[in-house]
Amino acid sequence: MEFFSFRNFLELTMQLSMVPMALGFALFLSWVISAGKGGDHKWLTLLSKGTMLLTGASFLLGCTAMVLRYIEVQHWPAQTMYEVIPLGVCAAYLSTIALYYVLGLNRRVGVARAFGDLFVALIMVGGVFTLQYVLNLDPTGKALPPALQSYWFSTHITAYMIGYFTLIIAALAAWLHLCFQFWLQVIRRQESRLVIKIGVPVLALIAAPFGSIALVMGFGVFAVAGVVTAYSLRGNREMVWYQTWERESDNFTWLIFVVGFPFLTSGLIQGALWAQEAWANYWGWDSKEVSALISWLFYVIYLHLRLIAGWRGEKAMMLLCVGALSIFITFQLFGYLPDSQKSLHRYTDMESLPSESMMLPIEDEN
Amino acid sequence: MRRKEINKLANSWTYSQALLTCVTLYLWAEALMASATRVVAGGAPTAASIMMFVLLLPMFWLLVYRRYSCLGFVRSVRVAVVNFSFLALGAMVGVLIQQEDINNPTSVGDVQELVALGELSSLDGVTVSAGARRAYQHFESFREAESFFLYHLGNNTGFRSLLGFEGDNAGDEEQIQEMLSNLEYRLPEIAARFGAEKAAAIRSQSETGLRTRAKNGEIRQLEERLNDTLFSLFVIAEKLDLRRAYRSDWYSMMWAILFFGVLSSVLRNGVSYLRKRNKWGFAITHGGILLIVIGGLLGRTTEIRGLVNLNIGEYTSEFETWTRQPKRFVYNPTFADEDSKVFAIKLEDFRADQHDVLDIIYVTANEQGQLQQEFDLDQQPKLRVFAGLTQAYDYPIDNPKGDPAFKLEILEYEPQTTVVRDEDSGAVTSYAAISDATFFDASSATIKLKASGPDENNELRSEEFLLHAGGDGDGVPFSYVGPDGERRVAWLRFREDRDGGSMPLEWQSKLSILEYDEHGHPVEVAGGEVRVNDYFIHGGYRFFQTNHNPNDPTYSGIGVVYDLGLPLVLWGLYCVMFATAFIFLIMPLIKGSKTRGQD
Repeated sequence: MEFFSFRNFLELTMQLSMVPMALGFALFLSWVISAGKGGDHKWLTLLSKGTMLLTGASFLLGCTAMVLRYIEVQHWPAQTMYEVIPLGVCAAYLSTIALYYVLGLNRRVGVARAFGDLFVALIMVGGVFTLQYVLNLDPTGKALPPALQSYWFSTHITAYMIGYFTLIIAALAAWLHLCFQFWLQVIRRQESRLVIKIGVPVLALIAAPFGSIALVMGFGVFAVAGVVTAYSLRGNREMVWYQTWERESDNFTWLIFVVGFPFLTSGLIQGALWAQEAWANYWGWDSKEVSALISWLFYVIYLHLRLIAGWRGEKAMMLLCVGALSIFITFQLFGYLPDSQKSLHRYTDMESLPSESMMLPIEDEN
Repeated sequence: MRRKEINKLANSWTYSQALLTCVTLYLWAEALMASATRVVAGGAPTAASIMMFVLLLPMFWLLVYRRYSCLGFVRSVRVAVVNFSFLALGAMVGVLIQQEDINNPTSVGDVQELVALGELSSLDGVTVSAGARRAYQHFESFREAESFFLYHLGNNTGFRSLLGFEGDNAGDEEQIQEMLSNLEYRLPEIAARFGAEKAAAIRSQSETGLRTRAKNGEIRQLEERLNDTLFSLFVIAEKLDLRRAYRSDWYSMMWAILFFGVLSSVLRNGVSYLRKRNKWGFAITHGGILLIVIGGLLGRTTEIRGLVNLNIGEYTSEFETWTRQPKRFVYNPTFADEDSKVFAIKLEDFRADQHDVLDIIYVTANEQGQLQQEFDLDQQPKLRVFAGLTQAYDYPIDNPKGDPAFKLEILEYEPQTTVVRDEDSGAVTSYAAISDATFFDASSATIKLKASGPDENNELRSEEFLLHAGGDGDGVPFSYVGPDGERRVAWLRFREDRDGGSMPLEWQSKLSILEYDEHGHPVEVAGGEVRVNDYFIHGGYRFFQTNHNPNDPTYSGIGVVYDLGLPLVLWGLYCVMFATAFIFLIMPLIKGSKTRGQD
C-alpha cells in the first residue's frame, strides 16, 4: 500500500485518535481520583489542553486523507459510505475543536476540566470505532453519475455531515448528563423524575441493537457512569468534578445544538435546491428526503419547545438524544426502510447492492 | 385589547386539547374532501351534498362567531408543536408504508375487487379486471417492501426468532465461514498484485454478497408467511390514504394549520417589531416558510410534468404528461386559451459521453499458447484515467507496504483527438487534440501511458504507449519481473467504459425552439443546451435531460416541467437557509465580538 493513500491515512487517523482518547480517559480518571484532595493540578491542566491539540492533529490527518481521496477518485470524496463517513468523522473533530472554545472548555481550570476531558475522550471513541468500521467497508472508488456532478454535491453533503455529527455530539453531551443524573439519583436515593428514571435505561436499551458503536456509547457509557458515580460518591463524598457541568449542561447542549442546527437546515435546503436543478423537482417526497425532513422537524420541535414553551433541563436533553436516533436512522438505516427501495438517493448505499458474481472465485475454490 | 385577548386564548391551549383538536381537524378535512369528491363525481350527489353541508356548517360558525378562538388556536405554540409532531408522524407513515407511484395510481374499486376475491397468494389462473391486476401488482411490491423492512428490523435487532427464523444469522453459517476462509487464504496474493484496496473491496463485497443472498431467501419466506397480514395492511392503507400520505387531505390540513400558525405568529404584534434588528432573522425564517407553503400550493394546482421523446433532427409541439395525457406547448399554460401561441421543440444534437478507462489484466499463456486471465476476478481492475494519474501494483507478498514492482503513469490525456496509426501494426504513432471540438463531437480520447517494472536483470525498464479509446480501444502487453522473480505480463487496454451497469460520464442535448409562421412553417426562435443539473427555460417550461438509450445513440428523453409556484419556493428556501445561519451563527458571532470589544 502506498504511503500517500487514503486508506493509509485513514488508518493513521484512527491510530492517532486513540491517543487523545486514552489521554482523555486517563485525565478524567485522574481528576475523579484527585477531586477534593486539593493540590496543584498544573500538569493535569496542561495535559488536558494537550488532548485538544491531539484532536486537532487527528483532524488534520483526517483532512489529508480526504484530500488524498479527492486525488484518487477525482471528485469530492462523498459518494460511498467509505468516503462519507470519514468526512463525517472529520466534521465531528472540527465541531469538537469549535465547541471546545464555544463552550469555554479551554478556560476551565483544575477539576472543572474533568467533564470536558471525558466528553472529548468519548467523541474520540466514536471516531476510532467509526473509522475501524469504515476500514471494513468496500473501498471501491466509483465514478460520479451525471446527477451527482454538481457544485451542490460537495456543499450539500458537507453541510449535512457537520450538522449530523454536531447534533450527535449534542446528544452525547446530553446523554452523559442524563446518565450521571440517573446514577446520582439512584445512589442518593433521591426522588427522580420519570424522564430520568424510566427514560435513561430505556434509551440505553433502545440504542443497544444499533451496532457496536451504539452499544458502547449507549449502554457502555450508562454502565461506566454508574461505576464512576458510585466511586465519586463513596463515603458521602460530593461529585466535585461534576458540579460545573451539572449547572451548565442545559446551556452547553443548547449551544452545541445552535452550532449544528443551521448546518442541518442548510443541508436539507441545499438538497432541495439541487434536486430542482437535477430533476426539476425541489421536493419529490423521496424517502431519504422525508427521513431528513423528519429529523429536521424533530429539531424544530425541540427549538420551539425550548424557546417558547420553556422546556429546559433533562426534558429538552432527552429530545436531543431521540433526535440523534432519528439522524442515525436517516444516515445509516435508511436503506432498510420499506419506501427506500425506489429512492433516488441510493448512491451511497453499497451494502444493499449485492454483487453475486463476486462469489465466483469462492465457488470455484469449492 | 383584541391582541391581548387572542394571546390569552392562545396561551390557554393545553397539549391534550391541541392534540384532540388537531386530530379532529385532520379527520374533518378527510371527510369534507371525500364528500366533495363524491359531489363532483356525481355518484350520490344528494347524500354527499348534505354531508358536505353538515361538515362545512360548524367551520363557518367557528370562523364567523368564534374567530378570536380560531386565531388563538393557530397562534398557540402548543398547537404548533402538536401539529409539527403530526407532520413528522405523517412523514414517518409515508416512509414506513410504501407509497403509491403517483403516475400509476390504484383506485378504491380495484382494491375492493381484490378484497372480494378473498385471501390470495397469487393471481395466476384468476379472472380479474385490468385495474384489479394492477392493484395486485402494487400489493406484491408493497408486500416485498414491507417484508424487507420487517425482516431487517427483526434480524438486525436480534429478534429473528419473532419472525420465525432459527439461529443467529441467515443461511448456513458454517458454509459461509468456510467460503470466507477460502477467500481469506487467497486475498494476500490479490492484495500484493492489485493493492490493499482491491483486496478489501473483494472481502467486503464477498461477505456482503453471501449474507445478502442468504437474507434474500429468508425475506421470500417471510413474504409468504405474512401474505395475509400484509394484504390486510395494504387494504387499510388504501382506505386511510396511508399509501398516498403526502397527497392526502389530512396531510394537507397539517400544512394549512402550519401556514396559518406561522402567518399568525409573524403578524402577532403587527409589523413594528421589524424595526428591531434582532427580529429580522425570525421574520425572514418564518416568511420563508410561508413562501414555501404558498409556492408549493401554487405548484400543486398548476404543475404540468411530462416527457418528450426525440431523435436527432426531430421536432414536436406535443409532449406526454406523466399520467400519459398529450399536451401542447403553449406559452404560460395556466393563463392560456385556444388562441394561445403554440411552439415546438427540436432535438438538434445529442451525445452520451462515456468514461475513459484503462483495464489492467494480468495474463498468462495456457498450454495452447493462448493468453488467459491470471486471476478469475469478477471485475478486473479498471482505472478512470486523467492526466497525472499514477498507480502501483505488485507489492512483495510478505511486505504489503514495501516497494511495488509495477507502476503505471498517465503522462498525457486528451479527451477528443484524431490519431495516426502505423499501417502494419495498427499502433497509434501520433495524435492531435481537436482544439475547436464541442461536446457533441464524438471523437475519442488518447493517452500517453508509461509503464515501468524490472526486467530479468533487475534493471528498471520503462515503456511508453499511445493508446486511443475509439472503437473497442487499444490494448498492449507489458512484461516485467515480479518481486518473487517470476515473469509477469499485464495486458493494458484503454477504452470507453460501456460495461453494463456503468453510467455515462455525461449526456447532453442541444435543443431549439420553433414557432410557426403564417404559412405554418417552423421558424427557430431560441435554442439552448441541457444536461443533468443544467436545464433550459422557455415559455414558462423547464426542459431538462432525463433519459438516454445506450442502444439508440440518437435518442434523447427531455423532461418538461411547468410550475408557477417555483420562484416563490426558491425564495422561501433561500430565506430559511440564510436566516437560520444568521440567527444561530452570525448574530452570536457579531454579539460576541461586540462584547469582547467592550471588554
